Amino acid sequence: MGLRTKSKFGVWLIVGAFLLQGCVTTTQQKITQISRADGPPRVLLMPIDVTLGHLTAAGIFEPQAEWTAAGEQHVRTALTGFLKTRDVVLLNYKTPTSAEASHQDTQIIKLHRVIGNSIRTFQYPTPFQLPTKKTGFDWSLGPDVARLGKEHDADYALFVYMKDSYATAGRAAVMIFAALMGVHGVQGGIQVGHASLVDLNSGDVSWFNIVGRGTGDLREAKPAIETVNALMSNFPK
Amino acid sequence: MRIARNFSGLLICCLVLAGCKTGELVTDSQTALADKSESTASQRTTTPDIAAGQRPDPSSDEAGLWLMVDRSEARTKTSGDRIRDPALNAYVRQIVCDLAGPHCGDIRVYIARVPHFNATMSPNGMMVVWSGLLLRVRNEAQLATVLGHEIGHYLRRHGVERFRRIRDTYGFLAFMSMGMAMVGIPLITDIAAIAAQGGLSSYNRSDETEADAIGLTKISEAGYHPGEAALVWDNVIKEHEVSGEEKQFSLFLSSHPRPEDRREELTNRAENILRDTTTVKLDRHTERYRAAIAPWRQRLLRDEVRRHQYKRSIGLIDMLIEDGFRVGELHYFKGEVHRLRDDTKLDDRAAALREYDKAAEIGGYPPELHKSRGLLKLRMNDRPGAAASFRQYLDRRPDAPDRNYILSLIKPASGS
Repeated sequence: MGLRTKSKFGVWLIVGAFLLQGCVTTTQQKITQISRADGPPRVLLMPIDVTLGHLTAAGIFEPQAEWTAAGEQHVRTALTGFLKTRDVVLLNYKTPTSAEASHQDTQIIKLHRVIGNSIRTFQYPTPFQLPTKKTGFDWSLGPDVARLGKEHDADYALFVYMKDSYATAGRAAVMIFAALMGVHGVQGGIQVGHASLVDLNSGDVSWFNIVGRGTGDLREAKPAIETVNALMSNFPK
Repeated sequence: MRIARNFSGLLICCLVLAGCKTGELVTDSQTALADKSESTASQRTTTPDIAAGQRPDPSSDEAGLWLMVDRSEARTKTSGDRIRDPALNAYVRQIVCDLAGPHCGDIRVYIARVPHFNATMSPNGMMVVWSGLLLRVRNEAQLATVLGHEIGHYLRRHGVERFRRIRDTYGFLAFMSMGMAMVGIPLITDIAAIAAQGGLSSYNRSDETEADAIGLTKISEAGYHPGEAALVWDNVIKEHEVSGEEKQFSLFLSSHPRPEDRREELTNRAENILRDTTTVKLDRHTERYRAAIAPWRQRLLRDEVRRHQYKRSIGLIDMLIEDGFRVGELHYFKGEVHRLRDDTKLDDRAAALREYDKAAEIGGYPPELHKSRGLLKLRMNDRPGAAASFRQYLDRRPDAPDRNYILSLIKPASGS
């Protein structure tokens, strides 16, 4: 729990940093192209991790179940639409029937959760950037992820995380009051997320992109497409 | 403890860094067992009790909370810290079911291998029982007391009330933080840190008292001796006293300082129950509890020893020796605490050897006793004595995973 909260906390700081600095490059990658010997590369879309909620007057994120369900669907649809424009075969992750296989997969998903949050927190030029991460991009889940490739006959796995918040009336009041008082930087809703492409042969994170901004709306299908396009910009050809 | 350290780091970050005023509402509503209970009045809550099988309205804030704890539960379910032993799980689950009645199907029980006294209840019905609790309670009635307390939190929906309280209480902080921003001190309201450290626990006093009362009623109805409830707190108090840890962070005793009040309250309530009811059964189910815990007891003790909280562990083991279940293994683990502390002023080596001897005399100790004795003798430069102990260890455990290492320790000893 400690780690999880910390990394989420890190997210907010990074968003803060980006909002202050203006977004520089948000893509980290080892590759600019994806390929497969005998045809278009096969990309396995892992269960997407989407949470939508209110941003209350105090700046507290409060999850909202219905928005989350809708947001998850919109992101999935938009991702599918995006990948159709690319020369890839999109596969949806299915939980294996065997308990042991399912357990192994779950551990991979949990591992990526930690690694993805770490990349977002420690790779980018913020006060939290690790000295060893200032140059290069070398994160890996290790070769054991090959099991996912074998199960689904896939070359890459795509992990997507999105957290989107919307100002409540109380929050809006605080923002207006703040502006009147000459205080700037009181944020409304914030959209944070990452997409991560993992090479299922090596386990390396091949490509990683983040969004962190004060715009966007995943509650609706149309703006969700815009968000996903931003999230997937610079996706390897 | 690790959590506390992380959060204190966060709080420092809050003060130093920050630009945007955002935070995170804690979702694993960890309704700890204990609380400040100066108030004795059991305050009626505003949220109606949860009905059997009830799920929140999908558009509600409660559904948002459940969404997050459902996800948290998915991680708990696949956690490496989880004890999966079907027999132990079935045992605890059965007690929960008997206490929860129609709500049995709404509560899932997980046993976490964490060597501290605690159990938690999430608003969605996820109950987590820490293994340190299983080491500490002396009988089924005491375990049921804690489980009944947690069920009380669930029935009364204390989790969602706490969630709303945190959210609403901290609304005004936005204005405060803005005031601070105006003088150049931005503030992040990190609700997770505040909630996890129990900083808001004073709001929960009535919840805890209420859950205590529900737990006591439940166990009495299920036929357990109501007098055992107060003894749970009695043990907590005694363990804390022997530990001598005044200032040290403890999950309860820093944020929930008055177990004495809870003991008193439960004692009074139990007396009323015993006075009013003539048909009350007074089961403790000590033997049944011991049988259920026996296969895990040595592992639980090993986890306790590994906390390296020597005084506390010695005090706890002394209390368990007094309780009288499997005393041989208890002496062995007490010896282990002395061996690990190895304080010359406290004469730990002699104390450890004494405890090993007692264990050997009584029996029922693990073969590792001989290895520990050998290691200790080696430290005391008694090489022949050490070699003899190591051989005893290997005789008792021919398949010892550290066999080669132990043989390497014997070799120079016999060659000298």
